[in-house]
Amino acid sequence: MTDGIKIRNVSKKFRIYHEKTFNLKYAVINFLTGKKSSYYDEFWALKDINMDIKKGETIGIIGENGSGKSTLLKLMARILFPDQGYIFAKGKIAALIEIGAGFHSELSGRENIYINGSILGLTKKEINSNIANIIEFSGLERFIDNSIKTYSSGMYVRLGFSIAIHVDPDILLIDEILAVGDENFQKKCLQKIHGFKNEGKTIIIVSHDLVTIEKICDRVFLLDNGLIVSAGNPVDAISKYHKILYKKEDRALRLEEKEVVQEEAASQKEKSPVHDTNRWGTREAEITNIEFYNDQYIKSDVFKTGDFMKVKIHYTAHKRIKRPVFGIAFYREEGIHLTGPNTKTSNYDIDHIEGQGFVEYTIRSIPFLPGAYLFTASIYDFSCLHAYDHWERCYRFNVIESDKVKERYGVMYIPSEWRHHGQ
Amino acid sequence: MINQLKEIYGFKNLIYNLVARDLKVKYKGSILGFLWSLLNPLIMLIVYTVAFKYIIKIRVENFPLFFLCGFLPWTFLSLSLSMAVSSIKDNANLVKKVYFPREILPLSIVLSNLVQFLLTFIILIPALILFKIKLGFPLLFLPLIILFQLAFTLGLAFILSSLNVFFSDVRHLLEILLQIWFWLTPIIYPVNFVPERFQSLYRLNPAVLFVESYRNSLLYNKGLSSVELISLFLVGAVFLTFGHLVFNRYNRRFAEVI
Repeated sequence: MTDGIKIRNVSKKFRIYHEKTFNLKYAVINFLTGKKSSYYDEFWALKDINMDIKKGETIGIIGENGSGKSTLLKLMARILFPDQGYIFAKGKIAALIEIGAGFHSELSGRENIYINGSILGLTKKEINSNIANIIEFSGLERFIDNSIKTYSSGMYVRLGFSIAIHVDPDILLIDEILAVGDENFQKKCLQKIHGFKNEGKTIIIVSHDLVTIEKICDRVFLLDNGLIVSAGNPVDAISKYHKILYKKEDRALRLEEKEVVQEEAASQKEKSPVHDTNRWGTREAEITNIEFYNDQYIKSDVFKTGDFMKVKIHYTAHKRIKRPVFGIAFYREEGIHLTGPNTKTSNYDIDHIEGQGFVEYTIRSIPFLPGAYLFTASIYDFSCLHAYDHWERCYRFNVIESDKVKERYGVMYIPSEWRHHGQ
Repeated sequence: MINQLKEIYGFKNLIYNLVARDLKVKYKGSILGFLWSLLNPLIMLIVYTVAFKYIIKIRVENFPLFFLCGFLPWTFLSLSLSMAVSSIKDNANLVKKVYFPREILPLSIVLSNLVQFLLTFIILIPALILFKIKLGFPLLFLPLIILFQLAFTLGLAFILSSLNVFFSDVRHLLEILLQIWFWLTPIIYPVNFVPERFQSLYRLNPAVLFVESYRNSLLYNKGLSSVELISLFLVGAVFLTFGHLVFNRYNRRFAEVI
């Protein structure tokens, strides 16, 4: 077999432990009583996976969170081992899975290049001959001899990525890290990846960034629940992915509608934000819930480009607040800030709020192209300096391909028309 | 096996860096730096010389040197193990996210302790000369003894570090066992202090063999018999092979468990 990766009947099972660590006591007790360990559950993260990846191919792996795509990548990287089947990979593998793993904050950037490079399997000679390129690529020339505890998180990531990408691999595994650094740096990384591609290296990318996947991959595998459900050209796999997402969302919605009467309180909990670490404010007024509605006035997290969308921001004001400003923002998952309107800039004056209520924000035609979007909601005072409650990028919705809008490049759809004037 | 060794060798730069980092971090910020490695045995030598000359009268000739010849190899063994036991767990971050031969983690710790052990000879050898100990050809056995002790230590480090991933108790258990082991090893007393009827049982402890061998070649100008050499070799080889076998068995699940 030539270079590349061959995956045969690979299955991977994980154990979920009830206890945080299973300790010696349990092991001894179970051993003595002959009981088969009952302190964990098993589940199959991957089931009977087969892939043949040829040298020089660029492969995308997509799927929802928990579909097994990162597990698959870790198996290829030999960080995890399959429970059944085998993986045969020929050539030097570099895995950009967690960049900067093993950085030492006490040491300088330069020293860390040497240490991190060696973790990735580079010899001193290889690092020496590459260090100028690594530093240049990271753009950290001025800080390279400072201890990296003085680095910002962006600088940290840039350094890590620069080292990892300068390992000269035959097979490059990338997990979700195209979404790092600023835009300029991202562009640089993509260029580098294109460079790899042109050199005929095998690349495997796991990502939620479907736009990039579609642009650079030759083939795409779609995983769902640990199974390959689709393999083939990127456009087909991605549209199938959207269908799966939409179906699940739909099913969830229908279930939710049935239960909504019985368990309103529970559904509210279910609709709680993705994570709440990005929340701040003094909380005299609180945002209690965010809901996205479609044109049928049904709650949804999936929309199509050009659709109608109504966002409801529910609040509770614990005291009377004069002239509050409600603000929102839309972000692409990769971090691009798309727009950030608020009631003040829109000249919509709210005299005061007290007790419960909600604010509606309506979009007649969603201008976003397919992708994952994050949503920010906030309540500020009239000066917009004092935050009562601010949920930064805590809500998420997806936009999928529409039958009407066929545009695929960039992030926005602008209703417009073409006209040709010949002689 | 050969392939694995080759692969580990391919990561020699990583091993070198980890050892260097270990030593660097240890002495970072201290003015004397690595001199502390030398100062420790030197000060111990002085303290024990004074203490055993004027305070405690023990009927062992040249007691401070007798003590150091046992204590320094013991320190190499016990420090290696107590540091290596958590080596996989402490590097969870790496193990979960980067591929490299996992053996390197306990290996580099044992090696950095080996370096420190070797440095102490800079004090030990002149001290032996100063105290007019006759040194001769038995010194030539020293590299062999060190090599076999390295293999023995490494084997144990493999076992302990991999078990510790699954049972956090191992680390705590080791602390206690090391204390007991210290007293079961002829470090501050000679082997003949042990009653005759326990001798054969007592000698099952591999550390007895190592300490005795160090003393013979350094202090008593006595070569190693072929039986001793073969036992040393067997202890080293058996522990290393078995240890690596255990390590390899558990290795596959490290990233999932930690």
